[in-house]
Amino acid sequence: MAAESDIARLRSALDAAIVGHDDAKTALLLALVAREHALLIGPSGCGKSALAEALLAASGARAARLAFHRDTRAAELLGEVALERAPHGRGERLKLRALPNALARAELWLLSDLERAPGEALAPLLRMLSERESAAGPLALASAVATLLPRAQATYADPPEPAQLDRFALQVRMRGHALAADATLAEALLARASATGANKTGRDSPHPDAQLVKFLGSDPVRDPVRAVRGPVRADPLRAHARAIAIPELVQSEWLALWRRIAQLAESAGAPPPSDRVVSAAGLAVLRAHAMLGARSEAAQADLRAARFMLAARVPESLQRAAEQLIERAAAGELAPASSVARAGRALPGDASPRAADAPARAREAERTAQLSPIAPLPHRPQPADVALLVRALAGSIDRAKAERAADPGGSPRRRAPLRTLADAGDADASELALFADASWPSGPALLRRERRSEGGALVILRDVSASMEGARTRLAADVVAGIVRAAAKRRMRVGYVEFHHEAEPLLVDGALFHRRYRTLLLRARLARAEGRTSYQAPLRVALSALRALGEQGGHLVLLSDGVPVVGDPRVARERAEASELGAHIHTVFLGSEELPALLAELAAETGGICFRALHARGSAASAQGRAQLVPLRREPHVARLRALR
Amino acid sequence: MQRAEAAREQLRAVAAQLDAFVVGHAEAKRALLLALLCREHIYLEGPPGAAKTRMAEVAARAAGLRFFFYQLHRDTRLAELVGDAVLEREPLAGGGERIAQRTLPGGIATAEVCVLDDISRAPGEALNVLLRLLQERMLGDAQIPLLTAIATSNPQRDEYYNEPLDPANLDRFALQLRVPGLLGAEDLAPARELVERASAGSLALDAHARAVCDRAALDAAYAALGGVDFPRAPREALLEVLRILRAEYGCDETNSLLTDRTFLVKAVSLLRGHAWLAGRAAVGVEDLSVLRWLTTFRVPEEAHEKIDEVIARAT
Repeated sequence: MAAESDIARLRSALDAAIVGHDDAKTALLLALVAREHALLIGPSGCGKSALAEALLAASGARAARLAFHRDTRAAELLGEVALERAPHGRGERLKLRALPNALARAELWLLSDLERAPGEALAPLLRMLSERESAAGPLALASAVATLLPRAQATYADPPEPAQLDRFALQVRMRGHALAADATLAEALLARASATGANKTGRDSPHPDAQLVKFLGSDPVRDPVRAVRGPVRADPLRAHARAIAIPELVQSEWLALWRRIAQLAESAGAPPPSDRVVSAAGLAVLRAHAMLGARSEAAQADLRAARFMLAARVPESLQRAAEQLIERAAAGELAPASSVARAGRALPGDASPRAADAPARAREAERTAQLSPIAPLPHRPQPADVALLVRALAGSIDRAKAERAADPGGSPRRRAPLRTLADAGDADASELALFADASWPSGPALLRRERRSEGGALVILRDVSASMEGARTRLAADVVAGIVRAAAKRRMRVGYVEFHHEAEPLLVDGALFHRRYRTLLLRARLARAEGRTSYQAPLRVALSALRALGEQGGHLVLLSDGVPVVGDPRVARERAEASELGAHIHTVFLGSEELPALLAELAAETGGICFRALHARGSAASAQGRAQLVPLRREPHVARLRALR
Repeated sequence: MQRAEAAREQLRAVAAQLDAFVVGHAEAKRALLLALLCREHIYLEGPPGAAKTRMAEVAARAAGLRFFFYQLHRDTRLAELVGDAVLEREPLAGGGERIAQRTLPGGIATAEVCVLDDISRAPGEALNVLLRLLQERMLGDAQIPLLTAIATSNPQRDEYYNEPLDPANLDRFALQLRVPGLLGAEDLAPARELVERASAGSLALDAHARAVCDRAALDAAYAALGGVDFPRAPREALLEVLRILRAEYGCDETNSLLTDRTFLVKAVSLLRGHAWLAGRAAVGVEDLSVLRWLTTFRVPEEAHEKIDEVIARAT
């Protein structure tokens, strides 16, 4: 009973902090009780940090806060660097190690703006989350709460990897009230914020966000629950939760549910959720959920715990479908695991999940691709040898954009002089020791961190008109696969447009340029040949995307087996626009006939190269060899054209 | 003979420890055992939460060898892997001083088995030295006692930061496996067992595996491998697998790493180890299934997908 009232007090403290966001609040309570970590994903200003701060305050646990920024270094996360020197034989032994920092002693961590951490700076920290142990010894850590901007808002950093986010057992998305369709919560928030005296600021705010808590919530005078009774101790709650039994039926339903979610993810080409959800971490959350529901044994209704574990494990577009699955499981409408096991992936006698998934799949398809559904080729494309094309691209792309640049998130690559003492962690230990004894102007050498910056941009325009039937489709697939592999190596952003009389761009999160190389490789494997050819349509799409990118010197690779029969046969306007943008159009002729003059002209006029794609002969027993791009000598009239310009 | 028998029992006890701590992943467990037996390095790649690290750690501890565990990260310093730097300064006659730096062997340099977690995160500088160390088992001019390195990594997803290990680096790991999650697998039984055991709290998450084997046993086992017969039939089948890969799957120098070292030397030792573990005195064609742990990242993905078929045809 004490547990119930404690939970109620925690919840009311969170309610006092921010309006709405019930899922996020429940997730935080679950994290606290299950002794797991929580991740809040939401746009800036929706109350992520305020909510986390409220939990820290209400639980009264020793807390540590880390706000990530672009230049976050391991030293900040793991502790200051210490150089230890001890006599050893005739010399001395040197050791660089991290001194324990505030994180080592804190029970609750608040990690804000996870997306700002340079990708790799996170690895050692996140490892501490799962091991609850640092190099210096065990940590007091119980739960960490991290905040993360949704991908669309995170501008300059790399998105954190799913492998890293997986360590947060609980993960929820928050949405702002201001733009929500239902205005009730926005009104409530407005009413609260405009109440008299609500914007008094605290004098001794330990953290800027504490002011926000006060601004959005009520102050302690008007919040007697917290003020009178003090913080809630989490340990007894955790002990209570651990004692909760999970009946066999619930176990198998929990498994069956995640299995369904895994199938749902796979149907959309996403990886399944990790095994953590059915292992100790997931079951701890399940138990915590039962406890929040004041049950001494986990019940079917507790399958709803899964809702708080979805955000980064399932693509956003599938979230609703997954939630529906969970709801049906909790209502006892899903078959238990045994029947799933027998049925394998077929799920007979249960057509409804497919029906429920259908709209979600449709939405996903709509979001990632406005392309026609297609039947895949019977084979996987064998990436073509595109070395010569890449060499052409390398001239401008590699040199201009994909160079390695100094970046605190990069890997040590070469030596550089020490500039500030904060860099000492990257210094050579011996030089640092000598420097400490007798400084010299240049300082000890340290490792310069570098990483490849953004590669350039490339658009693949692929002819899928009716004449592309058969072997040519296969050739095109091989060439696309080859280009995508090469682009992936250089981290180039790639756009992909299929065209016949219309252009069909593959959009990812609404953008033509992206780095979903795997998606592109899958798409390359298509058997599609319909309609008539227009160059105008795809060139327009590609050029306007390049224009929007605002960079000079993009590259277009046009794959075709014929000449345009729809639209302007000379594509005069598009040629002019390409020249204006400094875009190079490389053309790849997939036919075996004589090369259409237009393809040679397009390339020559824009500084591109015209290729013929061929399947190499003679590689033993394989049906056809690896495809190759062979550059074509420029036709004389094209050379004249260039001379005139 | 008897010592070899006892050694086999001890290795089976290592397998039992793996089963006690990790649910499912039968394939990876067998490969780990084989790596320990044949003194080869092994690389496990799989999604987060698939118990890769756990398996590696349990195998290393259960083997009863001196072991070193390291989580690689961007800031990994070489000293953390191979030992601290020692700086010696000595005044020279006639003014000036001699300053010399050497390494005090530690970490990988003194371990018999090491677990390298998240190996793809290592910075290039540390990784290069590390991989040379694995290959040559030498630090400077001195031999290191390393028998087996177990490395783990997450799959390299295109959209993210990691720069994938290049195939030449991966080639240092004779055995290479993908470790899929249990949740997405066809067979539901391991996932079910995982839930049951996690519910019952019998996964012993905080406990460490017991050392159930020792160096003497591994030495005896390794010595016994030389006595395993390698008759003509499996030899020809091995060559046939290579022939099919070359002729029908277009594997050549540009897209594959079918080296003599791996497929004609190491493969022989691994095939023997596989036969010996199963209690056979001679390698049979059934042992050729081991080859699928060699081809994972050495031939194009499309060829590796068909490797079981290729092996079946060759035998």
